[in-house]
Amino acid sequence: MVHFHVRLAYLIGSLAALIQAVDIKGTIVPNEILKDIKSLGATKVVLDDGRRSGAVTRNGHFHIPHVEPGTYILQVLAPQYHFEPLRIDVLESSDLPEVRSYTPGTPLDPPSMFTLPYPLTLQARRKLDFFVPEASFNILGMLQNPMMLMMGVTALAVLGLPYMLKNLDPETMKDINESQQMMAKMQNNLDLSSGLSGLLSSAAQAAQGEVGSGPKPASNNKGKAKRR
Amino acid sequence: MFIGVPHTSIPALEPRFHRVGSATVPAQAVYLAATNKNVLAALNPSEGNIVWRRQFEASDPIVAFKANQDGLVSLSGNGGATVRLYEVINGKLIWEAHLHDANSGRISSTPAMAGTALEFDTVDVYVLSNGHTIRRLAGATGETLWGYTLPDMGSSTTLTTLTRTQHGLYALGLTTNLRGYTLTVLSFDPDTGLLRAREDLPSTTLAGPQDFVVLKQGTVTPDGKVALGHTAGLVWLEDGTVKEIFLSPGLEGKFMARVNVKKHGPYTQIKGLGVEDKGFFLATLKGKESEQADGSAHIYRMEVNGMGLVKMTDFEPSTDKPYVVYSGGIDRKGHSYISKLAHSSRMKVASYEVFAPVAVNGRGMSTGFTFEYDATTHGAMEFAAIDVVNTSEYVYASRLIISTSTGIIQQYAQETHKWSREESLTDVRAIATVDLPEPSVEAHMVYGNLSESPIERVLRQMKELKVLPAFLFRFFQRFATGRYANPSSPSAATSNNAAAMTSNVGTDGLWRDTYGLKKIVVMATGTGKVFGIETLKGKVIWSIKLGAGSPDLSMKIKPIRMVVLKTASEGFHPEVGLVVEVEQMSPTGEWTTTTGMIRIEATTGASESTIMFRGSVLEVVELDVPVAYQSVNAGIGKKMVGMVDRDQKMHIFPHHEDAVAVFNKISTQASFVLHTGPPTQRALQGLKLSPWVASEPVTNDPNYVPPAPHWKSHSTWRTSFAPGENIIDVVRSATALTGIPPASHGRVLGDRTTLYKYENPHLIAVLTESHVREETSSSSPPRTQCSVYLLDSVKGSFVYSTVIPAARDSLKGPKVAGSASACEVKMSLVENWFVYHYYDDDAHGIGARGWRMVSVELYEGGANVKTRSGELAADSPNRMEVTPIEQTYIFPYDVKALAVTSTKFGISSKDLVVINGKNQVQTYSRRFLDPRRPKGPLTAQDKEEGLVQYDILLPDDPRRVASHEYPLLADSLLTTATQLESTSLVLAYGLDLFMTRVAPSGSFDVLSPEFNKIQLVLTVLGLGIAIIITRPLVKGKIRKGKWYY
Repeated sequence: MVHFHVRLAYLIGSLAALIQAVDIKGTIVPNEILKDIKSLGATKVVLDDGRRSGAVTRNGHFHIPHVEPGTYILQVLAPQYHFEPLRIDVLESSDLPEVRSYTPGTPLDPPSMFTLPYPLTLQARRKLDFFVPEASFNILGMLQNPMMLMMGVTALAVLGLPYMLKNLDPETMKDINESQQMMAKMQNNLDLSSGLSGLLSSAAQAAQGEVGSGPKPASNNKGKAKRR
Repeated sequence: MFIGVPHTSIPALEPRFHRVGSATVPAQAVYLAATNKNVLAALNPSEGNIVWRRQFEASDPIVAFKANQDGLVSLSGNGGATVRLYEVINGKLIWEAHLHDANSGRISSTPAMAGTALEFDTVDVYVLSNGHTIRRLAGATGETLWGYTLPDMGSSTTLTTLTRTQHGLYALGLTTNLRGYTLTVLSFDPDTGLLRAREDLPSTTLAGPQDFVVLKQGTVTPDGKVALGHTAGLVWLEDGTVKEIFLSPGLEGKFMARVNVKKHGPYTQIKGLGVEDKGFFLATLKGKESEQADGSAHIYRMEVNGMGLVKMTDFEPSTDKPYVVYSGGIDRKGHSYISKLAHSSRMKVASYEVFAPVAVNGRGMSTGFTFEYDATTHGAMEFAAIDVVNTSEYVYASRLIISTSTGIIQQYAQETHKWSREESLTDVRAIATVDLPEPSVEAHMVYGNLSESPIERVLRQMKELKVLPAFLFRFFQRFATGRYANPSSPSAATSNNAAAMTSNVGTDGLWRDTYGLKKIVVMATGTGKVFGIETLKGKVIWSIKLGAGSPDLSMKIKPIRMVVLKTASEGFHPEVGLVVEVEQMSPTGEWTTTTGMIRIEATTGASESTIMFRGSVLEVVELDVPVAYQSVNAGIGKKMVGMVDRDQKMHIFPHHEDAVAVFNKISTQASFVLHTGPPTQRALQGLKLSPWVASEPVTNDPNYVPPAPHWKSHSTWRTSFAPGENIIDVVRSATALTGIPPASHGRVLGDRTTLYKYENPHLIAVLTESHVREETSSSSPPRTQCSVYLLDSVKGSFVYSTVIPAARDSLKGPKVAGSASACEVKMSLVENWFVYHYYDDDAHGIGARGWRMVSVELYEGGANVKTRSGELAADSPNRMEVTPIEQTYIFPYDVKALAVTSTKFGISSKDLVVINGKNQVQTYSRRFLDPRRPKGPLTAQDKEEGLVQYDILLPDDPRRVASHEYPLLADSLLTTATQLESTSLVLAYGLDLFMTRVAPSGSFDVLSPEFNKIQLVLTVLGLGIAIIITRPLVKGKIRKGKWYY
């Protein structure tokens, strides 16, 4: 029954449409995205499924004739630009249609509270980009790669650290050695007091202890010094 | 880029030269044409390229166009609903004016009686629409300055022509009566639209609107504006003679001139040929021996004051060249020329004769030449436009642009052929792609029938050594720079190889390239031409005209279906078979239809035809021959072609004895589907073949010819659609068409269970339209409803069905003239995946309004339920156990064609390819069309399965537009596999031909186009250099170290 009423209403609407049909007019205006209307290409403005349409002239004007009362979704089919769709309500009582913004995929009701001015002025929202930018060879780009940066830092450290140590004051050198030994000691203490795993491994350490892993950093330092 | 085959039979749409600029300003010429693809286009007459083109909507057919200076006015839609003004040089729209609602427009059975006309004032445009309304539109804005409607709108008078002279505007029309037509003339005040006079000429009797021509004479140029005609006269053909009256604003002049019939005539036709505005017309004579015109004609000119006709000259009859085309042209200075082109079907020569009335002080002069023209390849000439230049006294150089029955547009400058456009490629009726053979040495040996001794081989290889440096260079070049995205590099190397090998074989390098991207597309067009097009560069390799051997150029050959008979793997000459219907005029003057089969070699175009049976063909069935029965020697390949005649009997090709014997073994497996029933209640019927018993009748008649073998069929099922339900479209499964079996039989879900696919290659998708009434109220008018069914074509049972709202309800909105159906649903079916696209206008206001794309996947049941549907017998009851999973998405645009990518093994995901409403080829990832996309948040299992969360909007990614920024006018898609599993070729056709390749799952089997070979090479080189530098350092260090120990 409800359907029937809807249909009846529609019928009456379409009968009224024969008496009153509105022409929808508007203009596509240039903006910073679409600087020149001439670059728009063959574009048309369609209502709903394209039964009603108007071509865009070289000045950006369009004109959709004989639109019956009802609700329509207006789309601009431009091959290279994106335009926001609009909701157009053609009223039986007025020759001025109501214009609202419309988000695709949302129900038509309830309509948005804000209406837009008529005649329509449309602006391109986005230029469509069909191409995926091709990766080109770039030494800088290659060096900016994080892996490369890490590699570079490591290489610097490996090559630069011995020279740095060499050029340091003997006193500071001593300080560093001392602090290193301190650290090593602390580490050893931590190792011993590091709970269960430390206890478990203590036996193994005790076995190895005789071989003399004790103040390892010191021996390491010795080794280094010797080599130099 | 194409424009379509130009309309040549309607004077208002005939192609014509147009020159912009005057005698003083350097002129720019264009060739304007309106075509059968509803395209208005301007060609560059000297090069043949498209300057611009505009395609009109199918509901908005072009009915007339006229150019004046730098403006071009088009009139389109039923009864001339829309007027548009374009810049003639670049096709930019200046304004658009809508005169009436297109669906209330007058639809005429004969285009000449459409009741539409265009005429120019100095700036403004006069438009006649609907046969009774005249408007003057402002040239700058398109606004209506005044309008006039013929009061007796429903009467029998139809206006057809408008003429503006300096004194007034005249509208001419025809009034029907019992004997034929009588002329009606109206005279208007051009400034106000006031009707000055109306005159009916009741004594005239015309056969139709083609029998009168309005002539203009002299020009008046009011203050430097566009010239207007000085005087106008009306000539018409009546009882074989030509009569003329002078048109004056008050229509008071009753002066009537007539041609002496005894001296001249009787005439059969009068034609303005585009020079009627200069006062000329041509009258063709009845042939002396036969009823048909023999090419003789007289040229007349109206006197300057409009009183009387003068015969200028005549064209001699040309009995040996029965195909005659007359044309007229106006040169830069405004002088007129009339020409005659004649050719025969056999002699490869055409003769051209042009008459220049101004030459020799106005006495006129004829010149001419002959040129080479092959009617067996181009068909009969149908139209010519001429452009004549008077270079010096007595020297008239012509260039002609001709249109022929095969749809070619050709330009000749004098006798030299300058360019051709094969516009019939816009009307592809049957299409097939074939692979090329591989360029191996063995192939060349067999292909070229080479036999060489070992010594010869060594010698040949020595010879080929000289190409080694080039090869090496190419190899390294390719190594460093070659990429998949740029096919020329790998194929160049291949063709270099091949060229070296084929140089003595004499073939043109038609070999498969490394990736199998080079194929041949064979296209048969509606005008009876077949083209072989290579896919890599899009070059036409060969073209043939069907029925070229027949002298009868009126024979119509309609391609029905193309089948690949032999692939490259079965022999080095792949072959296609083309099923055609031939319409031929018999000697008694009746049209008869014969069905035939044409075998065409795909690489060369060599063809051989066989007549199958009389009458038209109902269905073409491709039959797979089991491997056991295939034999190259007996000429039985993988495929046989079955053709069903009107009596539902099947004829097969090939049909030699061996083939018949093989077919008898497999005939019981063959089944097919036919549309049957009266036009209002069509039904689908499944049929099977009855075994054929070859019984040899006992006869002593030596002339007895055994009938061609055929098999009777019997009906196995019949669909039961509701009464009045009309079948609109039937789509077959792409799996059955390509023969690529599914790569996987199921889909493993996140919880390790499997959904098994419903595999049935016999599935067909059926779209129907019906008019239903609501149960609650029988008084409400019926509503259009569309239904989509998936049907098992062997058993006739429905697997899936749904009802969708009609996009174009018959009750509201304008009807589209082009499509009779209100159901605009596009469908595609492959394996167990079915997609369809339609428009939902959301009449009840529940959901969102817009285009919908529905994705349906068919499974055998729930998780781990397996019925082995692919292997089940057709009559197994389990075959019906199907679980569809579906989901609906909102699609941003209209869709003109849908297709699914196809790859060699079907492992890559199948992407959807569409031609969208913005005339772009765009692909949509299968991932987003997955009907299992969860509506809630993704769970870990969903993530493991690779699902994406459901979103009602399908993402519209411009980077997936394969056609980029090229405007592409096409309405059909074809996808084929290549040798690369990742890559599928997509061909869009319909108006333009566009070929691209897509990699639905990414090009996983070749290096990605982004892969930077230079970077790789440089990195390796850099590391190498680093090793070279550091090695001595390290060695030195080790040596030093040893020194201390």
